[in-house]
This record gives sequence, C-alpha cells and structure tokens, in this order.
Amino acid sequence: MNESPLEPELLELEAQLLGQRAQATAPQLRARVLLAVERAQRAERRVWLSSVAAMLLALLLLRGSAHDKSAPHSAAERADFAALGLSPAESKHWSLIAQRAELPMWAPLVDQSGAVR
Amino acid sequence: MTHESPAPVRGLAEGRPEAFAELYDRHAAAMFAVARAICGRRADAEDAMQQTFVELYQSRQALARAHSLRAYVCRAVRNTALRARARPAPQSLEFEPSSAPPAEFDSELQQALQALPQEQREALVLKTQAELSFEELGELLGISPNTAASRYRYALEKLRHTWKP
Repeated sequence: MNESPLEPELLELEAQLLGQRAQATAPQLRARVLLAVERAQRAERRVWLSSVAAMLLALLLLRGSAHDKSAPHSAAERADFAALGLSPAESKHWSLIAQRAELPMWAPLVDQSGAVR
Repeated sequence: MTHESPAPVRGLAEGRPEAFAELYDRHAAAMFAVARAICGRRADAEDAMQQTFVELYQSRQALARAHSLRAYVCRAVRNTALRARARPAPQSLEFEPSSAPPAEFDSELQQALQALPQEQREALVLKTQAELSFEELGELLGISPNTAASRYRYALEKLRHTWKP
C-alpha cells in the first residue's frame, strides 16, 4: 500500500489536525441520540408484545375451536366419519360433514355400526 | 468478529441502553466529524447522528459482528449523511458557525475543510477524526487503499494553504 512518508510540513499539519480531534460531542446531542435509541427500544417491545398477544389470542381461539361441542373427538366418532369417507381434517369441520351427509348440523350422523341414521 | 472486548459487544447485541451509551461515548465524536464533513450544517449532522444510532440499534446483531466497531459506525453515519444530503433541503449547505464548541474542529478549520473537494474532505476527516487506517478508509469509501492515501495527501496539501493553526 502506498503510505509513503509525508513531507515534514504535511506531517506537522497532520499532527495539528490530530491535536484538534474532538473528544466528545455536545451533551445535548448525546442526550438526544440516546433518547432516540430508548424510544426505538420501546417501539420494538411494543411490536413484540403485540405479536405475542396476537399469538396467544390465536391459540385461545384454536383451543376454543377444539373444545367446540360440534367437533368430533372420540375414536368412535372418528371411526364413524371414516365410514362416511371423510378424512380426519374434514371430520373436524362439522358443517362440511353435515353438508356431505345432507343432515342438519345438530343431527347425530352414524351409529356405532357405521350405518347412517 | 469485532476487536472490541466481549462484554460491550454482547451488550450491543442484546440491545442494552448502557452498551449504546458506551458506544456513543467511544465513537460519537469521530462519527459527528464524519457527518459534519458530509452534511455541512450542524443541524443536519445531528439529525444524521440520531438516525444512525436508531438504525444501529435496529440492526444490532450485525453491529455486534462488525470487524471494527469504529469503522462500522463511521460507515453507518456516512451512509446516513449521504442519504440526508441527497434529499432536497430548503436550507443552503453553507457553513454554519458553531454554537457548541466542544464537539468539533474550530470554526476556521471547519471552513477550510468545507472548501475542500468532498472526497478529499471525507478522507481527511475519516483519517484524522475517526483514526481509520487507509485499508479501512478504502473499504469504507469503496476505493483502493492507495487512492485513499492519495486523497488524504491531496487534502493535506490543499489545507496547508488555507488553514493556519
């Protein structure tokens, strides 16, 4: 690399420039900058908390859906729906089941023998 | 990996305010000189400083992985200042006398610096204020170390005729 030595006059000037080097900024600028960093941190936390809250809400909704009385749970019920040719995913959706079986949503679909009532 | 000691770097990666305060205390003077060399106006340089620190916080994982923190933060503030300068500003970019002396060069030197061509001014300030090597300077400016050294030398030669300490 070309770091050829500077002439004495330039070296002296360089030394004077280094001597002029600022050691600090104005205190007001320091306070302003660090406050902006703190604000950015708070904003980031708010976003994080919002996303966590949204995730918890989604989990609660899913849990509520799983506890929906209209959704089949037992092995016997799953077997019943399998007998109707419905996949497990489909069997979770009572409205779809009712639609395919052409039954009202509240009606029991099949008995233990698999026969459609 | 950064040359800084592990504790401050870990604090930066974790976004601890005290780590950013320490980062400021170590490097802000050099960063401000870089911003001032590009923006000209003190107010614009201060805005660039604030914006840079917010962005450094937001990308703190990359900051903590920086090879040289000083070079990294000087590059960051330079980029912010260049973006700010590219925006249309209602005010002129003429030299503005300093009202808060401890932060930078004296006003006569500041005027002499503003009279230098932009690329020479940047080389001079980055070398003398940020204490970057010619390799770091070249990497930051996207030029070879030799070109960086030449710009620095030309800047010194011009400054010799316009600034008397």
